[in-house]
Amino acid sequence: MAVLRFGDQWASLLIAIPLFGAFLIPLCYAIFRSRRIAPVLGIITTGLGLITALDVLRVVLGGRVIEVIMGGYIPPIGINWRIDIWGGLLATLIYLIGFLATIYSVGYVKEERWVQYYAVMMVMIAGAVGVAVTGDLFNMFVFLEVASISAYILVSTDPEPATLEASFKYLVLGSLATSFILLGIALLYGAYHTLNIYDMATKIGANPVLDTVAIALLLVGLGVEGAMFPLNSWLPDAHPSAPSPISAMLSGTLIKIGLVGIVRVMMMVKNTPYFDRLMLVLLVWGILTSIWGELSALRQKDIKRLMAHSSSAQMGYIVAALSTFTPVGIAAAVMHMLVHALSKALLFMSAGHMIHARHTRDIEGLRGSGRSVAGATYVVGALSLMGLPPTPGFFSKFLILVAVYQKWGVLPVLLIFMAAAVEVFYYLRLTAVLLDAGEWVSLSLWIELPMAVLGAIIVVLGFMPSVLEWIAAGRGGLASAMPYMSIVPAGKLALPFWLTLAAAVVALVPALRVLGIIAGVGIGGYLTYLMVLSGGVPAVIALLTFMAVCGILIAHIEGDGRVDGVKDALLMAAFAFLIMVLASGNMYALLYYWELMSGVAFFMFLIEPERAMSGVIYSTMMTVLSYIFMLGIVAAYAHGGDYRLSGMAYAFAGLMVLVAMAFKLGLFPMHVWAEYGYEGAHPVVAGYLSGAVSKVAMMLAFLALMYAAIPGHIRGLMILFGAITIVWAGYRAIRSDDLMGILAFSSISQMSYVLVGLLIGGSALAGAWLHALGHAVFETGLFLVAYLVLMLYGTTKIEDLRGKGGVHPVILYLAVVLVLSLAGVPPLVGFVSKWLMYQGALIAGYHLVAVLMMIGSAMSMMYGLRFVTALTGRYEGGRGLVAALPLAFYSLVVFVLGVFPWPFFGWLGDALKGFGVRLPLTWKELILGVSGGGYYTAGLIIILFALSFLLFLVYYMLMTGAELKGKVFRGGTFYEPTDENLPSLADMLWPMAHVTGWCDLVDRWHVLVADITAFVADMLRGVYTGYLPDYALYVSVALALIVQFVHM
Amino acid sequence: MKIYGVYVLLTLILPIVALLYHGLERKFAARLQGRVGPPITQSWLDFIKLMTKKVRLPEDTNVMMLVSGLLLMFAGALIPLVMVFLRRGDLILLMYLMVGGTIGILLVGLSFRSPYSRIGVSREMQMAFSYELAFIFSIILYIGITGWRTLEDMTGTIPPVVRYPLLVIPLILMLFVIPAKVGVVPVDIGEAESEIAEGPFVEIGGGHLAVVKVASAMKMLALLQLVTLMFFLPPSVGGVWFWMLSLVIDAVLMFFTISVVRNAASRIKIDQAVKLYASVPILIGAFGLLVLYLLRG
Repeated sequence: MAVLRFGDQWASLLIAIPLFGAFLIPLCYAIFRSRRIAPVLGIITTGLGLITALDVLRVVLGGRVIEVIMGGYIPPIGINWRIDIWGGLLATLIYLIGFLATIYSVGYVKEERWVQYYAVMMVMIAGAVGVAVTGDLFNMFVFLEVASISAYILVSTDPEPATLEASFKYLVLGSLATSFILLGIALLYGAYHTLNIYDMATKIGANPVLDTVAIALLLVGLGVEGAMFPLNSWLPDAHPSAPSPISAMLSGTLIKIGLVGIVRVMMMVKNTPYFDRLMLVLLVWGILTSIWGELSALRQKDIKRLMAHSSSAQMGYIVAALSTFTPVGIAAAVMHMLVHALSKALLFMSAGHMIHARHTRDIEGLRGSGRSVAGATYVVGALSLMGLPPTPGFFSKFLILVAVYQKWGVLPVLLIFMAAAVEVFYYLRLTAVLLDAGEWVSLSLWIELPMAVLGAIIVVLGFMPSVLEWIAAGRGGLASAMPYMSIVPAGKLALPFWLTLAAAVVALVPALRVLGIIAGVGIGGYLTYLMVLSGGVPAVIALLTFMAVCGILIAHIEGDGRVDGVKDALLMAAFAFLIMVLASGNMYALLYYWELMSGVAFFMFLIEPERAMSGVIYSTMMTVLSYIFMLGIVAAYAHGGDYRLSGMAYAFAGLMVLVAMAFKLGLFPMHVWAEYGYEGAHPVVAGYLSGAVSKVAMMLAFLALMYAAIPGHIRGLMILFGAITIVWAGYRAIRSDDLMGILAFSSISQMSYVLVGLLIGGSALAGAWLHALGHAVFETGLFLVAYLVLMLYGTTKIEDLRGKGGVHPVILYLAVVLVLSLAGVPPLVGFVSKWLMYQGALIAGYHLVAVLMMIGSAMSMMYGLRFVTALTGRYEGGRGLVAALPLAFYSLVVFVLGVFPWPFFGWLGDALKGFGVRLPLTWKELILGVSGGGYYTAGLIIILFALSFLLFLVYYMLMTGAELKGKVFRGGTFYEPTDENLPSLADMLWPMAHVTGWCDLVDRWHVLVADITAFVADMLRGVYTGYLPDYALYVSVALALIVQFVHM
Repeated sequence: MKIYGVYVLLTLILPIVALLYHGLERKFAARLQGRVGPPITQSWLDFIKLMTKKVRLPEDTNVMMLVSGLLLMFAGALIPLVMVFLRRGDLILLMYLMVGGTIGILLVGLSFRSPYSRIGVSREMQMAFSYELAFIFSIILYIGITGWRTLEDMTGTIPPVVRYPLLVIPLILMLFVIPAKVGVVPVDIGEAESEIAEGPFVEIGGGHLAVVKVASAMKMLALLQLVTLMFFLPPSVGGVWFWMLSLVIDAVLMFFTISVVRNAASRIKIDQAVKLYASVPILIGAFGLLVLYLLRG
């Protein structure tokens, strides 16, 4: 017990202020007969409370626990408050959100309810803060009742049947919960004759059976308040029914008092022998709650119900973190409590804004309502809850995972990931719906200002992780273990990084768009130059990605309108983040920028509403991917305690990184995202994803392979799956009826070559790197051609392009060169790289893999030509020539590198030196063929090609000039070939379709998975029957289970 | 410098030899049908005559694409032809070089806005894919069995197929490939004269047709010579004997795989051809790979 200090009595103002405010509000109304006095007093009260709470927090963060003694009686006899980090932080949060909610309510709640509303709200705040700060069990019960009863009243602020029902349910369950708590307290008091939590901690444990029952009663009661599954059945009714500011309070802070109650119970029993079993109970309970919450939210049609379920799930994450009871776990729980309180309050406020404007809570009814301040704040809140940078949620979720992994191993982490993936999906989908096209909505400043303030706080916290860490763990707590600060760009790269972002902002202004692009390309080039100077593998990748992004930006100049400017800006930002990924020296920063880079891609999809859903699915898949990636990083950290890239040497970590990157590269059967990510994207976006992002994935896969000793059988399996992917994606490309589809699957197919090459090693490794380079160039170029088609004809569907679809002859010609490289025709780069990989595969004895790779190559010839075929229509109109510039450059690259690949290999060899890889490819070895791996004999081919060209020229000169006259041969039929009735290009391959049609079935498994998930989600949601006896049954079952398990 | 002189010499001579073989094949076919047939120099004469004809193209031809297609056809036949007679080159490389010629045909077909050429391109593309499957299996099996990845690697004083009896499997596959790749009945589906009037080449005439003719003759000879080298000619044979022996084997091979086949069968339909080539060679190839793995342990 700490030394008693009576100097901290000022902290009792935390309760005194709101209680006094609650008293004053009706009094003043009675005196002045003006309702307007109520919000003024409410704001003043919460404002003063906030100042007090911040002061308390300051003291608490300074490392001192505040002791407040009530009535001069010395604890454990008297009631005391013990304000630690939990209490201090929660009190601050309650006041902060309460303060903002009081302001928000002015614009939201009807004036005739103000007096009652504000008075009860003050009481609720007093009760909630009381629970947070008290050190006495019975006192806690009293405050809990105070808070709960005022919450019941606030839920039914608008007395309608639905809200009254919700309020009544909340009341019944809440009362049940508090009765349980009271019973538990009574049992403990009877046994140990004390009510002081800290005193109890020293005495408890003498009577295990009684303890168990009491603790279980307490946990169940607090679980109801803390919205733990299945005790949270009041929540989906109560939170949505309340006015939005109250929902923000309830979801943001009030359920946290249940959490703090659980923390108190744990502090009480931490020295008992059954503590470990209790921890396990909490883990299972937390994870169940999160899975249940997320799945219940998945299929919601009511925006506030969705958010309420999401709150429940977040409580599950926090409890899971708490169940570790390690310093990291507690820090994670505290941090996530903070993050969730702020973010969920913001989300409810944003939802309230939209509901206020549209008068509906139905998600479809709110389509497009996010074109307002609320949309922006919603995005901030949602990103934070999803744990995506640059929001604080990223740090807290990461920390939770580290803690859980360290204490409980990989399985719970996987389950948390599963739940989180569901969450990401529904939040992204909601984002897509809300940000759909719509009119700009503006509401009163009372509503918008608090939202903006809260949003700003979240954003600032996102950029100041050290503050978060300080709050969660105190000064110096985790600083040594968690290198948060290293995420900030430093050194030479910092300035060009920020300048690239600035150029992106410039490009947003329609008039300055071209200037912004030129500046972006220039600064991006400088960034790349700096990367190239620093050498190593990232240098190579930086150059490749820059070639792709630069070409896209230049070709995109011809696009018009506001939309393209946004796309350019996002592209530049994404490139800046991409470079930071490459420059990251540690995995933590790498993950941070990786997620930023991926997050930007989502917004690129959102620009065009018809592509938004593709973006949602793509980004969800990418989040799943980054979870796998994160699992690797977490494992590496938990194992070795450091975040350096070499942490991948821990085999499990390396494997996870490899699997994640294989996912990114579309390894079968993880390729289903390609349909949405590449095919569903705008060609410019898809070009970026395919040309640039996949190269980063390739680099990480390479690093994982270099650092980690991946077991041989896994490697072999991945090689086989890679080879299958080559063929499978090739098949899908051939069957696709969309130019974008062809390129999408082509990209997957080609990047699988790269992956297989990396896995095989030897000369295939060299081939893989060269192929990555070639792919960055020819695939991006073809995406640019698709972009031109889209710009000229408004579609990329092959059937719709019938009779049109022509591009400028120069562009067509360059496209053919790129397609030939794609098909691997010598002496273009596509051949050399593939050839090296075949050699590697044959030397290593992978004959089947070599066969599959070659079949994939034959397929690439087919779909490449199918792509070109679609471009042979009539070309009208002068637009679409700027792209010739990058395309010509790309064609030059594929030719020059096909003939002279060794300078690249020389550079690459230097870059790979650190890994002990030697590329056996000097110019002598390649041109003259002295390597052991066969002969490329580029020199011979060039000579022969030149000779044939000369000979052909002679033939051609001898011919009389061709005369272009007349129509094509029609064979005397009545059939007149016109643009429209020329044989359809879509059914060009019908006999093959005939033979291979059944293959499509295999690719529909993801639909099945989605159906099963939806079914399970609906089934789980069925638990919320709306029938009170059912809910009471859940409570009893939970009680019985906990008692049984702990006592077993 | 001497080696470059050989390159130039072969580049000039081999197209002429290839045309002669084309004439020889016509003679074989005529004899099989009980006709006297044209003289074997007829293809030369045709070539010269075609060169003197005026070229006329439909007004909406994509000339750039046509010319590049023709060049690709020509180079894609001539380069592998020279390389196999030089006995230099990687097997996979040769395969890819030949694919270049096929792509040339497709580009030629795509440069006309004619339904015949479009259908021809469509069929050609599918045929190409189908027989490339067999070709791929054959080459990989060959490499797997012998360990020779290039023509220079080959050693031995007896024909490879005798030295490695297992080579029968890739040989069978190769025999599947030859008629299809050369484009004769029953699998000349892409250019079927009576049906779609030569498909991709429907609008081709004069000097352009001459190029097409010489290119397909060279393609045929290159392929025959490749098969001869891979399976029949003892690798140690050199000098004059190399030329004599390989030209004789080429002719015999041509008689059995082209002349006999095209006189003994009638054209099958495209879906039949695709099914045939997508099933039989894959089964044989898969069987071959299995045997290879079993034997290698």
